[in-house]
Amino acid sequence: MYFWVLQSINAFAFGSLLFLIASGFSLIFGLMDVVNLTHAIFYMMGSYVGFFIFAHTGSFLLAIIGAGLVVALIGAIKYRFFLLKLHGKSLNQVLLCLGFLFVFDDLLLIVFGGDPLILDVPSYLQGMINFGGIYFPNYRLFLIGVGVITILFLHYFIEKTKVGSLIRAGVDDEEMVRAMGININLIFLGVYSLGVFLAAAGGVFGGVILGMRPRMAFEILPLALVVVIIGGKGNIKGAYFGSIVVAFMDNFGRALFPQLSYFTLFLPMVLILTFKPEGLFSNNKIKRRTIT
Amino acid sequence: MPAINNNSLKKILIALGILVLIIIPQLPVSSYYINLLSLILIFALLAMGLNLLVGYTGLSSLGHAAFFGSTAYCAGILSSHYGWSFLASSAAGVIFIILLAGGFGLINVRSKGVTFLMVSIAFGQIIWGLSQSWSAVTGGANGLVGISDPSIFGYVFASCTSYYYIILFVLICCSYLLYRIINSSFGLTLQGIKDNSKRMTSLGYNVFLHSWIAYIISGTLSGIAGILYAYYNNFVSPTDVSVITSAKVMMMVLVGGAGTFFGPALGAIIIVSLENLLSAFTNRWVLIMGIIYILVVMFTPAGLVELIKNSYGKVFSKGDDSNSNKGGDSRERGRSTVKS
Repeated sequence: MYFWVLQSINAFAFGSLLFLIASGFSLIFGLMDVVNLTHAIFYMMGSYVGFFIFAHTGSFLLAIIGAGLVVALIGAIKYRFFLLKLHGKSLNQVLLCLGFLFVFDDLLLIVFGGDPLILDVPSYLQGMINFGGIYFPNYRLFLIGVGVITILFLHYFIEKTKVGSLIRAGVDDEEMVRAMGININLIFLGVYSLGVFLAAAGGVFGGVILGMRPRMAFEILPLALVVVIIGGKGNIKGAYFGSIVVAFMDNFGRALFPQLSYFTLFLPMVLILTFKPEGLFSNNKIKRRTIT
Repeated sequence: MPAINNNSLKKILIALGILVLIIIPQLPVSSYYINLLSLILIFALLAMGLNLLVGYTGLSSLGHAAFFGSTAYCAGILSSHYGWSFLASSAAGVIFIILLAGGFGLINVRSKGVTFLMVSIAFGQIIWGLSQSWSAVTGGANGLVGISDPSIFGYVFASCTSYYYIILFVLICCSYLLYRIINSSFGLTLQGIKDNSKRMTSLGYNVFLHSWIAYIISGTLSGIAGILYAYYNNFVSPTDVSVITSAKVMMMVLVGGAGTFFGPALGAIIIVSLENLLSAFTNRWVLIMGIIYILVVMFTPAGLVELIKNSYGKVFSKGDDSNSNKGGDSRERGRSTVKS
């Protein structure tokens, strides 16, 4: 019993973390048709930069904001000067992102070295809460809270604000938005930066429980891909649901069948692709841009 | 060149190429170069297999290292754990990869474009995760050791030269097969699917079935390359399954030119030589590969073969309209290749 409850909390916390990565990934994919493989390395970059800031200032909050902003700036530069030049050529953009994934991965190895690092839990989040005889680690509960706040914020931002409605319009019909005289490139840039910010902030949160080591981006990447395959592209609710499902499969897979850990991801992916290949939550309103 | 028939010129060049490949090991070259050449041939086969999917069917897969690596593991495990012979483990490897590619294909081919690519990466990384965590069978992160030297009917191919000839033989057979497939009506249907799958559907072709079969053939060729690789190295590691290897092979296809028959082989020559050359000076191969990716995608999306063809067309275009015309045509074909 204790095992199941604790593992569920762990899975939920990991799912919330995954959501921070996958939400931006899914939004960028939905809005711009860019499969942003670089996202996994933006997460790692967030971890490392957060580690650096935390080591020098001792402030966890500053580490999150600082790492998020620094990495978002790098992401914005990458978008503006590289991705935008290939606008509309989805496949070339993926390959470009792949190139950046390798470049950034190796640069991180050069700058921060190959030793595994781990962030300390900030003092105010250490310890456990006793709840009905079971001890819950505070930091995991905190992560679950972060995930809930993020989805509420993103939901409000996309559904209720004017910028959000422009983003939705851009997903539906980019040309029409352009024709209305709206600078959609600016919106693209903003969404891209927001997605990267979330991933990098996730990197700081995740640095505490997962740590950081070279080539780790390649372990994060399939998780994010499976989340988007399950949840459907450009869908925040789907991304949250997918993150939780993937986290549970992954967590219990690792706990119960450590030898076959990754393989447990296979099952939800196969089911979704067989029965609902466009993703569980994708609404048909989203225009599926023909990729020629 | 109106004097020489284009087709017979091609045949002469191919025969010359094969002759050179046969003669090279007989020349006084060090075994390092023969090993390098063997590696190039293995990756050429892998890249040509991938090209059937990327260049001719319009499905860009970044999970081919999973086929390559898992077949290498399959043959390697049968050889090292169970003592199977070279031919028996190879046959088992081929059956294994046909089943695996068939199963994956059923799901993967349902998607198109970048979604296909995404699913292929996810599949590949799942196999990679398996190769790393299932250490009882695969040896985990340490890799699989103890693969015997290949032997056929008692003759052991222990020297690098003798094994080189096996690789060359397999490569020539597979390329011939691939050439026949691409130029058959099946291959033309695939190219039609790449250009416009909707039109092919309305013409009555079963797009899914054709893509699926292409997927299996492509996976099987990659698997055969994997078997050759397992016996070449006598060692398989999770790196051979990872997306880094997939990306390396994709880069060979892109650098050489997707949708050109010999382009991927040229890409394999360039990339494998470059990797070996640079490994003497630096271990920043991943960084360099990333930079090459960015440069290729930003500046020569159609690949080197097209680039050479185009400049060739420009130089020789005076007074020979048909030639320059062809260059222009194929350039456009190349562009759409990368886009699709």
